[in-house]
Amino acid sequence: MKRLAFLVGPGILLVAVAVPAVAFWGDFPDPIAVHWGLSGAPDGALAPAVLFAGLGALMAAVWWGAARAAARATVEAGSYAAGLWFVGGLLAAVSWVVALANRGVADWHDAGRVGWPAIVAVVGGGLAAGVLGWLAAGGPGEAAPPAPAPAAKPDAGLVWSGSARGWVVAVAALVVVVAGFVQWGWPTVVLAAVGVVLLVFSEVRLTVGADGAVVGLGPLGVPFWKIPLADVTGADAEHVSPMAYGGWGYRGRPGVRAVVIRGGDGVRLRRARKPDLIVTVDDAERGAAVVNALVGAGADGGPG
Amino acid sequence: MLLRIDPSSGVPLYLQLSAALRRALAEGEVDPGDRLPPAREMAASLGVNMHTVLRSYRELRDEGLLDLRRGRGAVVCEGAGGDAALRAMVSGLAAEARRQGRTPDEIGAMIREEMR
Repeated sequence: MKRLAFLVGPGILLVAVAVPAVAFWGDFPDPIAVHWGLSGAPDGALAPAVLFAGLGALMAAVWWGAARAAARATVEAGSYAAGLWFVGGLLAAVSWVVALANRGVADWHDAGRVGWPAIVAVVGGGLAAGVLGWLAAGGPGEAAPPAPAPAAKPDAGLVWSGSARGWVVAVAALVVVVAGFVQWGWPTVVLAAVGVVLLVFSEVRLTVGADGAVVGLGPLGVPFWKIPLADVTGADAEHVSPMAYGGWGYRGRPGVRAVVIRGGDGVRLRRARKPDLIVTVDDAERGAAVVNALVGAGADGGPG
Repeated sequence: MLLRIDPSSGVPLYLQLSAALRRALAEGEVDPGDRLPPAREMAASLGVNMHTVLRSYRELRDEGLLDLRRGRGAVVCEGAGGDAALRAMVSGLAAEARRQGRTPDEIGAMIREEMR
């Protein structure tokens, strides 16, 4: 499954990116049209070697990144494959659209028009490839086995707290705020506000006790929210990659919500009738084990 | 950070929390410079009043183990680890001494003899 999703498939897509360049090389003007205006007429040009080498390099870089991330992840292989194949399909379609528009013309200004059909083809090609990639990786993947409870007798008196800081987000917050002061004015205010939001997402804590799991954001502990223990059915530790959730921050995917502060370990809280909640924190293995122990203790000893 | 308290015990929760935190410090579960979860978050996870947790944090601050600063949360003091280990042992010793009806002077004499 993994060979098809991360080796054979991306390889074929890379070839699909390269084929039009090789096949029609002699038919291209130099430079070739690479950008089209709203009217559909070409309005930007590049040397063909630069364009096709760029497309190939981008594909190779995404391939390398996705394969590397998927090798470390256990349950998110489907997402990586979908993202990787999506990019591959997109780049291959772009390569074909550009090549066909430039084929057999003497000057890039005479290149064929590119309008909605081409855009549909590019996006559709990407999406179709993405779905295929997801299926090739075996769909949503198998759930990791639940983390074992601590060796000591599980009891209701366990308290665990873990945290994580995201340097990527913290640095971004700083850069954004500083950028706002380059020129004083309304951008300063907007960028400062963006900086505050980023700062909130630069740190997260997960504190688990007899009454529930508390997710706290930001260095000041504002905001925070609580998931009653009664709503939690169990927890797992897993590797979280910002790529699999489309970036940093509060993220949603079908059946999952995630607070992604940094790549790495996270605790997945499974909830009865609500989406799972994943929080990226250090020491996730023990955190998940404590949640499971508390849930077990509550189910054994408590009334409900 | 993993703490263990006993909800069925009759000891007030803030005392239990202080003891659990001291123990966590002594065992290196929490290191100097670490930040404890804000009192509100800790209280919410336990289903208790925030002041219960704050009371415990203040107790540890008064013992020189925690640095409490508005807006910065509760930070474990430098050197708290080693001191905390001793304090935990001494507090155990004191409890046993009290149980046996010994005076502080007697225990002090024993320690002096041991450390000569």
